[in-house]
Amino acid sequence: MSYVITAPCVADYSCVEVCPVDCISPMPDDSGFDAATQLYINPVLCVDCDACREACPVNAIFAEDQLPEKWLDYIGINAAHFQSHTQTVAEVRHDK
Amino acid sequence: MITPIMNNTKSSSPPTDKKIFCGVCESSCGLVATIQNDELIKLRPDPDHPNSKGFACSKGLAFGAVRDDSDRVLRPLKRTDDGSFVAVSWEQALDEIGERLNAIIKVHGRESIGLYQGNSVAWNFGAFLNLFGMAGALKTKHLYSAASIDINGYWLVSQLLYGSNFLNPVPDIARTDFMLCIGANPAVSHGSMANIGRFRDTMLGVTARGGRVVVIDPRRSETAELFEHLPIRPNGDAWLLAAMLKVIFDEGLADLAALQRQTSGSGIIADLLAPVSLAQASDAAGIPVAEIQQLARDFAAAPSACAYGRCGMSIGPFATLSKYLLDVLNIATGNLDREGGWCFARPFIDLEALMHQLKSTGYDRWRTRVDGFPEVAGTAPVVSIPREITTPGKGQLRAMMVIGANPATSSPAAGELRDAFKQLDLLISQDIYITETSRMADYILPPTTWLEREGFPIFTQSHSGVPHAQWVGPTLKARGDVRDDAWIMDEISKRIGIVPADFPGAQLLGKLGLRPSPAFLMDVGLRTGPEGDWFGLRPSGLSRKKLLGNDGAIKLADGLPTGILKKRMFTKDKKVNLDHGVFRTEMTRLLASSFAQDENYPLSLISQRELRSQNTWLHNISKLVVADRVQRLRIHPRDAARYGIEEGDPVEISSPYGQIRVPEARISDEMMPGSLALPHGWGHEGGWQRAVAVGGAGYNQLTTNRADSADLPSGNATVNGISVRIRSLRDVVEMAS
Amino acid sequence: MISERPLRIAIVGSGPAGMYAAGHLLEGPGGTFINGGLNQIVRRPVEVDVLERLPTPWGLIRSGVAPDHPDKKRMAAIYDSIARRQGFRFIGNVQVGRDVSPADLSQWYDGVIYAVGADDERRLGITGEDLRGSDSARAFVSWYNGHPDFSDLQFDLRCERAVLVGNGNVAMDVARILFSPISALHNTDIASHALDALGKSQLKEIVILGRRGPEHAAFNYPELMELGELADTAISVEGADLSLTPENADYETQLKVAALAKLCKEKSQGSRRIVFRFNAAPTAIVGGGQVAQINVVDRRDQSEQVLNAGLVLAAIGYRGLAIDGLPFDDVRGVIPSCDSRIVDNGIAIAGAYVTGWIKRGPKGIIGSNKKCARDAVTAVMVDVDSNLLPMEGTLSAAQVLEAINARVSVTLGFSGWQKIDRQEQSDGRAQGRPRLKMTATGAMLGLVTAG
Repeated sequence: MSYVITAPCVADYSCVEVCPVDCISPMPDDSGFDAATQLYINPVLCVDCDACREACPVNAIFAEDQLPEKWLDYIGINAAHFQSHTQTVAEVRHDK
Repeated sequence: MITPIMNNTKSSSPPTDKKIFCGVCESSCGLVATIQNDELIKLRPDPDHPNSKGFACSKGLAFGAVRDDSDRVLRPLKRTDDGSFVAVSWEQALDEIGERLNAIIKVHGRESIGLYQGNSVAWNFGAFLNLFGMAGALKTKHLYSAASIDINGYWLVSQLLYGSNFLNPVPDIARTDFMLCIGANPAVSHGSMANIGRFRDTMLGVTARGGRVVVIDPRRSETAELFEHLPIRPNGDAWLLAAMLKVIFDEGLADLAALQRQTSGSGIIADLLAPVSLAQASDAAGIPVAEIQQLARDFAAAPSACAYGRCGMSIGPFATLSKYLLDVLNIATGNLDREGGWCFARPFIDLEALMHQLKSTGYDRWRTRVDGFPEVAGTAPVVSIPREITTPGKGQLRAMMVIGANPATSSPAAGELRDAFKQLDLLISQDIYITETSRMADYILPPTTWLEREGFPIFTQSHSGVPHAQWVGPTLKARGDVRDDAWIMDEISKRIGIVPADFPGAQLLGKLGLRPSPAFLMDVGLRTGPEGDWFGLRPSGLSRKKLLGNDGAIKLADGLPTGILKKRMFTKDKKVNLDHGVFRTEMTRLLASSFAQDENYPLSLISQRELRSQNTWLHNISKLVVADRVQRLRIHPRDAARYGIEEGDPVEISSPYGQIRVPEARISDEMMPGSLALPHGWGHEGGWQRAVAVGGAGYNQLTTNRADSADLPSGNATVNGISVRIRSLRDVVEMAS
Repeated sequence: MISERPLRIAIVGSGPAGMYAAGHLLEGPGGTFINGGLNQIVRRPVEVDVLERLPTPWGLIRSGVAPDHPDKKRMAAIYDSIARRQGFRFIGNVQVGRDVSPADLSQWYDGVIYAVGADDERRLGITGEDLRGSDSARAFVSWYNGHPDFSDLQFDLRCERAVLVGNGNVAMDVARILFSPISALHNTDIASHALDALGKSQLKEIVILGRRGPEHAAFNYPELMELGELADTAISVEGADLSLTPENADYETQLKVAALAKLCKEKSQGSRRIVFRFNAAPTAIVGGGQVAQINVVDRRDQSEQVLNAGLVLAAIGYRGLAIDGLPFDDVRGVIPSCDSRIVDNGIAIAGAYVTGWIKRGPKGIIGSNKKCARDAVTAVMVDVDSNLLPMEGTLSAAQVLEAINARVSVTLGFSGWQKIDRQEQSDGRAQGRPRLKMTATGAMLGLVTAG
């Protein structure tokens, strides 16, 4: 499973602050942050700890198994953000 | 993005991975530590751990920050006359403590020395053994455990029903068709008295299989959000369970054959239920009769079912009775010791058997000096501490060693405890921080963290849904000049002429200079136990050495064993012994109790666990206190309107015992009307600066330690369902500014 | 001793950038996320005054975020929480540049952070732009959100077609609000006057003009998808072939274009229509007093088309507004700065900082301002440590309030706003709505001063 960031995201990055495995991107000092239209969770690195969901001020984050149907497409949208980020995929430390 | 592993290290030593387990909560998740040059590069969940299967939470994964915390105490500290601390050598601290203890013992006897263990000891087998060992060697009745704040009833029921305090059935959630979850919030807590890996996901598996999960809680908790929720009035659990049983027996839904086969004394059930009225129970629980009936029928009709209950039902005035009725519900529906039911786990070190052999388990073998509480597992209840300190006479508590605990915040009537602690002749705290408790101590003796010492999950291995074995050496070198808790206790023991062990002959061995280490003792227990290698007779078996050499946990079985009841029982007849006078007394007490709300204190307060908090721990870690971390009182909109509370208001909460000021109100219909929820463990003082800066107020300033308010059979504190009144401090604050 | 008194900082503007700046100045115990980790950036006590020209705080959270985006409006709770921190003070109904000058502030405070946002818009620069029925989308958004400066506007929606110039998220919001069922809007905090006007709407078609092709469309995916949720509304595309999107476009672009194509396919029927018209630029707005039509040129073949329309809203970007007494970059519409320090002809003005849209231009989303504000606060702290702040002779909190009250007849503190807030919520409850916004400054101040 993974957690998924959806449409209401405003890039407040409280989730980044609490994430224990640094799996949310872009981080504020990453080059893509200023132009980001939302943040994304790397489904390969996410450990399902729930901290981001709790910290999100706009209820934009859901466990994949609790995702509202209208936002199911955000599973792919989150994953796609990392497909060009091979360095994070190389960090895989748990099976998915 | 992610810091490259080779970042700015000139050393040639490459990073290495080591599989360990987490020592923060009862989930004991498998972790992978990446280490380089004795620095922790990172912690990640262990994907291969048989139980946690790649899950870990933000608390455990942040634990490196605890180890490396700049606020951590790294040398023994001695309090000076002006209240400040000076660093001293271990020799000086230990010698002075020894001298002072000997002086106290000379006047007041060994029974005047007290020991207090916190929850952290549950992942610290050395401390666990030495603590019980010291108490046994001292023959002191002042052995206190944080367990008597939230779980003593469990130990008691287990002793009476199954013959051992430490033999506790766990819910077989992975295979159940119906899970009843009372007063527990595993989506946040990750479970207690049930070491279920990926607890939330395992519960979701029940509904995914077409089964049901019903969550009983005054608050629509994070767990309740995921499943069916039935709100209950705080402390209504015993009523609900009694009523469910009443329905099950009245309607002939009980599994009488199972009762006949597995139990003795089941006649008590009819006696207990006879005077129970569904209408009265419904009133007390705040659940309509029809819903109770339906729940009972559904539970009984499920092919397999397990009723699991935790804090919400084990910290009230009828905690023992609630736990008893919970077990009876599981047993009477034929769910004990069967797949998907209420099962006994398969620990790799049979702690239950070891403790039984050592005669370390029991109930009511003696009573406490002042309050007359029955002992539970050799411990006296925390509620009694202040009176044991302040009441003169033989056996008066004069010195206390507090190990990994913060009772100045976590104990009921925390203010009274603090006042009483000031009257001790000697207070020693083994703690990694200067906390509300340790700041009062004469000596702070800083221990290692679980990253810095050898360990196995001594406590949680007994409740694991996927039986497994793991024993790890220290992951990192100890920082500064800190020592293992077990070593500290042994050094103090040496100086007062005891061996911290309670097995026969231990003191004699000590006189010969032999002090078997906790690791040695546990290894013997492992090797001669059901999974042991019998010192080579069973080469496939386990030993400490074998486990230490194994990277990661070894899976012993896919799931909980079943059909093993007779093998596991420590009762004489190898059956579950249901009939004990204490339960009859308790049922009578329940039926006579008033559940009407005091008009001066019209609301009922419950405590709340939050995702990034662990009771009083971990509040000094940036990652766990960042992002709008404020202690908030949850209140239903109706109550907010009635008592003039606006969202975000500072709120004063008053109980008959005290008053606190909570920073903010959060108005939410997650609360049942009439009940309030407040995260506990806040309001810090001392040297952990971030924890102090977060602010908040101590829940336990509102609770009482009155003996007659406790759960009488177990002495467990009543810290749930506190009668309170509230008012907004909005205008007060405005005027002040 | 200077080091013993709190650092006193004014923040001008209580929108996201200003409130995030306050949050970073009044740093929480967890520290600040910077360079991949949490670090303490503020090492001394700070007092923050947030000066707001309106009686109500939160800037575009209140007056910009669409009323049917309640999740995003929850950001107000975060700012609320910041406002409750020790050292925070809100002073409402004070306009810098009118009531007090930047020079005053620099005398009174140790440092000033300007977070005034973008109070102006880019203009089309075509004839007829000032006709009745032609306005900026910014004005329209401010109007339906009950901003006091725009509450007197009249938008007559009794026409068949509206044309939105520009296809960014503001245009998406406007289109969605224009076509949302009144019953749905009733459950939002949309201004009552807008609800009335929308109730009389006869709009059948909204045309959304984009100067370039779909691969350059400015809207984001979520906002586009929300148009797809409108009942009985067809969506179509003109002026572009969606199948020709370059394959080397980034993922987000491909996602958007594919989503638009899918919407066109799935939402082909409806009594109302939203038309995305690409490669189209307006050349003139025509009408006698009132907008009657808009002339549009197809930029691919320069062919002209006339669209009858009763409403034209230009959604081509917000723009910063100059403040008297501060430098201004008229080309970019921002206060010129370097590392958040306001610069005048290349020279940093001591103790004057800038954050948010007035620093970066109208780019980014709410959270972009958190980092931006963090950087401004970091600059303040660096300058404090380097003794670069002109801290001699600045005023205490009480003295500042006295000085402001000497110039403004009514100011309000945070409790004053809370009074308005509670009133709005209780008025809303009475009508079964989450909030009934007060839209007139006078009424708000009256409520606050009425004991």
